[in-house]
Amino acid sequence: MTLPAASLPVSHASHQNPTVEPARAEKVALVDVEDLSVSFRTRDGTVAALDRVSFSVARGRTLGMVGESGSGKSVSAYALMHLLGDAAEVSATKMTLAGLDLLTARPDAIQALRGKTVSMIFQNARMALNPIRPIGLQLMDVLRRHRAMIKADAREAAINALAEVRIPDPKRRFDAYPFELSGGMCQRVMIALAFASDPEVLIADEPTTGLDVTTQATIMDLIAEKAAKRAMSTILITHDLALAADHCDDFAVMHAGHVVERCTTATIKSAPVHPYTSLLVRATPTAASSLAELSSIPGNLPDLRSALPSCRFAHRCTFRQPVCDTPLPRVTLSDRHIVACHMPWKDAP
Amino acid sequence: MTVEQVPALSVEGLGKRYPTAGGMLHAVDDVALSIARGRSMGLVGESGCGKSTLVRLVSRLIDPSEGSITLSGAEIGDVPARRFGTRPERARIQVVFQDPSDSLNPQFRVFDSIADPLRRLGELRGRAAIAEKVNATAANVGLPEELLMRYPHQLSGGQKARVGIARAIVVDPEVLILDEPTSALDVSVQVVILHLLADLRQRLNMTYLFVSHDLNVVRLVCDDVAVMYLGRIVEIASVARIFETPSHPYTRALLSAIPGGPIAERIRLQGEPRSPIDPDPNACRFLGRCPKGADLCGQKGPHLTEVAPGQRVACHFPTI
Repeated sequence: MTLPAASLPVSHASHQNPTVEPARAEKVALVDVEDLSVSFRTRDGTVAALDRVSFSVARGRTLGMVGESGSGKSVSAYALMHLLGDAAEVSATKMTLAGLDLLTARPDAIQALRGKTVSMIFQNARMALNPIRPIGLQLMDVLRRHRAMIKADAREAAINALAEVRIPDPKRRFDAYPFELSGGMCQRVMIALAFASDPEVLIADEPTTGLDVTTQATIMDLIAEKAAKRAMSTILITHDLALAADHCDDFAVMHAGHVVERCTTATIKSAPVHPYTSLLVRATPTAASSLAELSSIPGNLPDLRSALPSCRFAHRCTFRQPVCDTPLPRVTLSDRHIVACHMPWKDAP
Repeated sequence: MTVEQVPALSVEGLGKRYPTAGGMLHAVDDVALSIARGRSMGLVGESGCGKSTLVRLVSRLIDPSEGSITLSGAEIGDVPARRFGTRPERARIQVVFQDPSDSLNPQFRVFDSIADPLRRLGELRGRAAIAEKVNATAANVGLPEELLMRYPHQLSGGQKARVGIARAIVVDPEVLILDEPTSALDVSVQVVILHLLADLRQRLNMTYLFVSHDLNVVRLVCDDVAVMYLGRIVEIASVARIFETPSHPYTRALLSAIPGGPIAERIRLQGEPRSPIDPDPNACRFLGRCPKGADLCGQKGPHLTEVAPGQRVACHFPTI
């Protein structure tokens, strides 16, 4: 059983936050989630959106959550932020966020955490901003609520925050409504909002999707700079494997509501062992030197409303064995490498 | 000159200006490019650089302010856009639009979406002949026949992309313009569509103008690349040359911004883009953001000049 070598080129922009001393960084997990399951009741049946998902992020580190659309990346983030509505049934054996135990915390304690200690950059910035309030005032709201600023200070801080995310002419843009700005600028306002409360944990849900590569590079630099300065923990949710490989320390690869592989970025680049991870790498154009090298992933995501097999990837997997129908194991290959597969590809070069 | 040497698509001195309250907005300015038959040219640049305007000009959805557009040597730029839709040339140059979900008529079944251009433009008459052509085209793009009676909302993203391609190629065009054909798709689906497009180009000997913001995709499916900045082409060369020896400072910045990209140097553009409204004809459009900007760049706008065989760059200080 051999797969062709799959690798992403080692990138120049890869960064390890140098300001965080490793000892401290390793110990404190600002985000720690064990066996998180989420299901939604709908008219067409129950959707098993997440099934015993585990991930953690140490202080100062960046976790990349990658996978196809519908794999459960955003639902994980929403569950962590307690933003899922009543239709969602959430269970977990452990869920802590910036030191707060979310399983036992009162709603007001979670509310105090959200937007202050923990910020989120939402996927569709134009939709996430208040359409009938100028962006400057929206920034001032956050600053006054979470940083207890007086009006004049908050105004100045808001203008600085806009300048920091490279909004041209921030004094004039202060009074602009979201519809008056381009998509890229709305995205930058969203990022300014997320940083306004000086968070310890940042959840960035596709923060640069739809932006130009040059703007994307500027914004990712900005997030990296903030993360380093404040030893902020970041979860970067993206479908762009190459982007995540450039900016993350660790990976959680998701497929159909399962975390199929957790590993470091070095492992993703050199030797992922879950068949889905290697297929995902080989479908990403960055590494391929010709179109022929780019291979597709067979099949589709399973319908999460149906009765699901223990391994949700089995029907797409070319290495399927009879053992794959038995309960899915969680194989610990090393300290930082866990894979949910019966047949992990251990002979990786 | 033999027929083979006439480019399938060629534009010369093409410009489009829009009047605005502040002056004339130069969306596309003095653009020249030509694509040989069977070749694929990538068009890259930031949003707002004029890519979409150029696509709409070339596909004759809007009228140019100046310049010529020729299809296999025949001028099509002088036909008003509102009348172009009924001309026989309409079938020879077709577009695959960006978002297949938005560009398919939600009230049309797949069959009718594909048959519509045939009924309007094709020479086929009779239901049986049209049905036969639609079925053959669907098979060509890998659409199973049982999907033909479905509506767009009953299809997956990849299937909708196939419908978008099918209805563009059903009238047997020579030139296909692809406007970000895979940007709305997951990588796993993108791979399949890219393979399909490469295969179709070879089998049907089509010529592609491939617009994309994803340089890695362009690298894999195109022969040549034109880089646009603020309405002008700043560099044009083969894919290999653009990726191995990018010359224009903007091309270099663009390549350095790609995650896992080919340039180790880290170039970040500072400053604001110049306004496209009444731009100074004697200044380089990139001045102000350009890391190499000098006095000369504000006095004399650079023109495309050959720096190496097959590589033309509009810069006073190209990297060679």
